[in-house]
Amino acid sequence: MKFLTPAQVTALMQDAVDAQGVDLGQIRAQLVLSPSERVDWLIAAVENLRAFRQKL
Amino acid sequence: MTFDPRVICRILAEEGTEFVVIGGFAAAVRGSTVLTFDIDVVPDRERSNLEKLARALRRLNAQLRTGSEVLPLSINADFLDQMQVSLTLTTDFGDLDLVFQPAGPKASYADWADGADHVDLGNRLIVAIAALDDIIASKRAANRVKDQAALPALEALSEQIKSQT
Repeated sequence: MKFLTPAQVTALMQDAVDAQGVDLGQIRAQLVLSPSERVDWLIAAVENLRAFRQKL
Repeated sequence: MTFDPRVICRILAEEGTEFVVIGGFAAAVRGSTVLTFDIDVVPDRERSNLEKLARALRRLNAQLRTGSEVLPLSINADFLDQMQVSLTLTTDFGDLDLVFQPAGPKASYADWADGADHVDLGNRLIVAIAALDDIIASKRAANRVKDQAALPALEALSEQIKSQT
């Protein structure tokens, strides 16, 4: 049986983090917006999250 | 309490305060998708600016935010002058962190202002927003759990912006 090297495991773990944490499609979508629209997006996202938490 | 960082910036600006927005909110203005629930600013420590800052903070009804409670403060320039590293506040428009000594290579208002851009946040509200690479460097240096969590997305954003230019 051939085992993964520590470097390979580290690379796989990093890929997993990126896959979970970084959405390049969303980043590209944000970059199309103006700074003012990005602020609107943030405020709405925070409000939505707070409303969701209150329902739990 | 609603989170309206625009109102916080507008009141700071109306009082003539010199400051640079750093941290997660500045990153969001740059295009970050990482949610943040407060706004971090580096104020100029000049005495006249601290007086303007104190007036703005009183208008914002700023109070001390600790881990578990909110405590009333009597804020004036003398008080602010004694703050060394940071001051975590809550206001009528959301949480506000004053960062007098940011982590990382840029440790003063002048350092941050050097790389910042003046950005229109809407309705002609022009605010100094830190450079994304400066925000990343500061988060790397601070290395808190929340910074570690945000860094992959911020680094991906930086790469995306550079690939577009």
